[in-house]
Amino acid sequence: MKRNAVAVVVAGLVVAGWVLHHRADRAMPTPPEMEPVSARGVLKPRLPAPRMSTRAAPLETPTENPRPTNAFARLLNNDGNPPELSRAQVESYLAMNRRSAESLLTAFRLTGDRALLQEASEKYPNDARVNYAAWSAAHLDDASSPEAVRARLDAFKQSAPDNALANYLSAQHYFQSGQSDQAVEELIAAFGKPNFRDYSGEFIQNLEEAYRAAGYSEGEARAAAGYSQDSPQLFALRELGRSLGDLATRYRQAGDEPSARAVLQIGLDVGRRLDESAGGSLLTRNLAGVAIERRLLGAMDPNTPHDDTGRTVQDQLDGLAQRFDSLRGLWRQAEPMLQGMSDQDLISYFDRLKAFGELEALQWVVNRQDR
Amino acid sequence: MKGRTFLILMAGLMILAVVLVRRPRPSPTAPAEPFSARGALKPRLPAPRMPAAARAVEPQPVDSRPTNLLSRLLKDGEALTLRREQVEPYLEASHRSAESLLAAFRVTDDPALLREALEQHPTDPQVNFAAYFALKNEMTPEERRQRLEAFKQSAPDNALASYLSAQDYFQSGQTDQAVQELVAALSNPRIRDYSGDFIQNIEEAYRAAGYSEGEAKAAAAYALPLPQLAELRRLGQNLGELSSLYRQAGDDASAQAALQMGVALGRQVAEPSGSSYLLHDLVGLGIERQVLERMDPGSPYDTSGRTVQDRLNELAEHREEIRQLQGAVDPDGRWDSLAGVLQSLSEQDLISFFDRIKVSGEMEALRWARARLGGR
Repeated sequence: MKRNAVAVVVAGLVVAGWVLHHRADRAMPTPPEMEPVSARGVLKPRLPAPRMSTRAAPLETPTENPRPTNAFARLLNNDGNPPELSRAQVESYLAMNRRSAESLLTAFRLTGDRALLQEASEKYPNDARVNYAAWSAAHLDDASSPEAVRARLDAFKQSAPDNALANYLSAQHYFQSGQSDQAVEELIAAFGKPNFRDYSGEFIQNLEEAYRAAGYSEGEARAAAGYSQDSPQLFALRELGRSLGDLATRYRQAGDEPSARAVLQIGLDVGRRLDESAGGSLLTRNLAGVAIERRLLGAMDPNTPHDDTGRTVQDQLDGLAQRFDSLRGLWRQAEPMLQGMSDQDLISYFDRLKAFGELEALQWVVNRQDR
Repeated sequence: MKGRTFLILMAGLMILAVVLVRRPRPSPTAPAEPFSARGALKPRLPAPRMPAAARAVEPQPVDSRPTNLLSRLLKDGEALTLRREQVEPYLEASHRSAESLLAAFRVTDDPALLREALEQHPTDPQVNFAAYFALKNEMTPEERRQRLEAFKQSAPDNALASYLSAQDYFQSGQTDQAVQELVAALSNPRIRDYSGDFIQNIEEAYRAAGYSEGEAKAAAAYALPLPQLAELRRLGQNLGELSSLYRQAGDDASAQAALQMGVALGRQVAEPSGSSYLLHDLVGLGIERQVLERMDPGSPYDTSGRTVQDRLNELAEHREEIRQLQGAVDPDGRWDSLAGVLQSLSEQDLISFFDRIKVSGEMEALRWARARLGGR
């Protein structure tokens, strides 16, 4: 139910955003070029970029923060919340793993004790997962200064030079502080990087091991770990989508249509990357990707060609609307099936979620029971 | 400031690359363009003629692992084959889905199950991929082509389909078609060989037959065939030869493009979409090294300022890292270095180890195992 409510709120926000953007679009002049927007690696926005006002950090909480209920969590009668481990259990897990980077991060996640994150940062300053977790913690902490968040982002970028996610998060932070040129530079850097990793699969794996070490069964450990991740990056990336929409509008207002289109293209690429399932990714990631694409396309002339197959922007929007519905429908269809699954099948479900993402795991559930 | 300057320089180089790519004809002089730029150059058609290769008679060194972990641990080297009746409950529970039929085929070796998969799920990419390799040696060239076309059609976003098709064309002397397939492969950034799917399904089949978590995972991971790697390695060799032929014909731009494709191939093989094994790393870096060795070592490799020689050094370091990792976890120096580690791990750790392969790849899993066993 909690998850359904989240999905409805997300849908509402997306629809509202789409309507607002669609309305704004009517006042816009028709783009002079009719080049397909989805072509990759061709367009680049002009620098210096038009100025954008500095925005305060959003106060709203991430609506799609994925902490849904799941069958096994209910089975444990814990209302979807993963079971808590005692400090002694966590210490034993840490000792068993020789206080490795990932075990410290897992222990931090389980206890919320910042000293563990600090220890990880000090001992493993070049570990990408540590720097990502440190960014995540700083990003979610209202008391963190922008400089502290920037330092975390720079460390993450340096430790994960092939990971486009670091550049995207950095770009949004620059947008947030009004440094549009630096943001555009980050986006250009991200564009050529094939990897987009938020370490969800690894995170689940480590958490699962911690639960197993604490005596939980295979099924319990998987269920407890499978839905325990926070996803602050999704909120940051949705903000990035908004920033890119704003920047495109400003380029357009400045008469620089090619840069406006380049920015939209970058934003669409962010959306597409999110909508590609990966190990450990939840449906909320797919939904966030679709929402970004719909928002950006909604700001365009619907008759513009979308790609070289003859599809228009409107065709693509229609396709995305269908995908949005099917993603939500998939969960509704699979949830009751999950509740009735055997322990062995639940183990397979969570293994599939960890290795391929929730979307593929849910499709497996439906295919398995719906023939 | 330094970072900003660098980024501006990068952007400039990227724009320069776009401009170069958009030139209608490449310069006849040897190009100094960064070598690993993606999707930039395309070789000229018609391509220089290459002799059709005889059907491969050499043993396929990367097709199968010489040892099977579970058999070594539990069955003294015997393959862990299930009987048909052992997999029937699994098949029924899975509604005889494409993937369950393939998994059952793998664990029983019963070709009737593959036939059923082909009949029931003719447009499934995994079925077409599995069928191509399972039947490859029994098919006529026409049947092989038909099977490859089915795979391509069912997996239009998978560069692997185009690569396998290209290799088959090279093998039959149809170089132009091979080049067209290679150009098509460039538009798909990832190779997908379904290793992760395969392991997951076969693991479930073993579990359903009564094996424990650890046994099922070990049996699945070590029963993984990677026949495509041998094909891709030969494709890398063919790209090197094609490049030489272009160069002999005076077409340096196409020669460069062929090598660039070889580099892209090597990198894609080393970083497949989904689970990756040490064999992916080794074959991928082998392909890339072999291609780069045909280049001027001082020429630029990419826009970061690295030369071809720099990249060759990186590849050598990576190879050495793998060797050391294997040595650290298997002091006896056996080919299957995992056996040493796995005999030392508890069943609980075995489960983690194989899960880590699925999530982070074999290299990371071995690092974890080494740390777990107290190594540095």
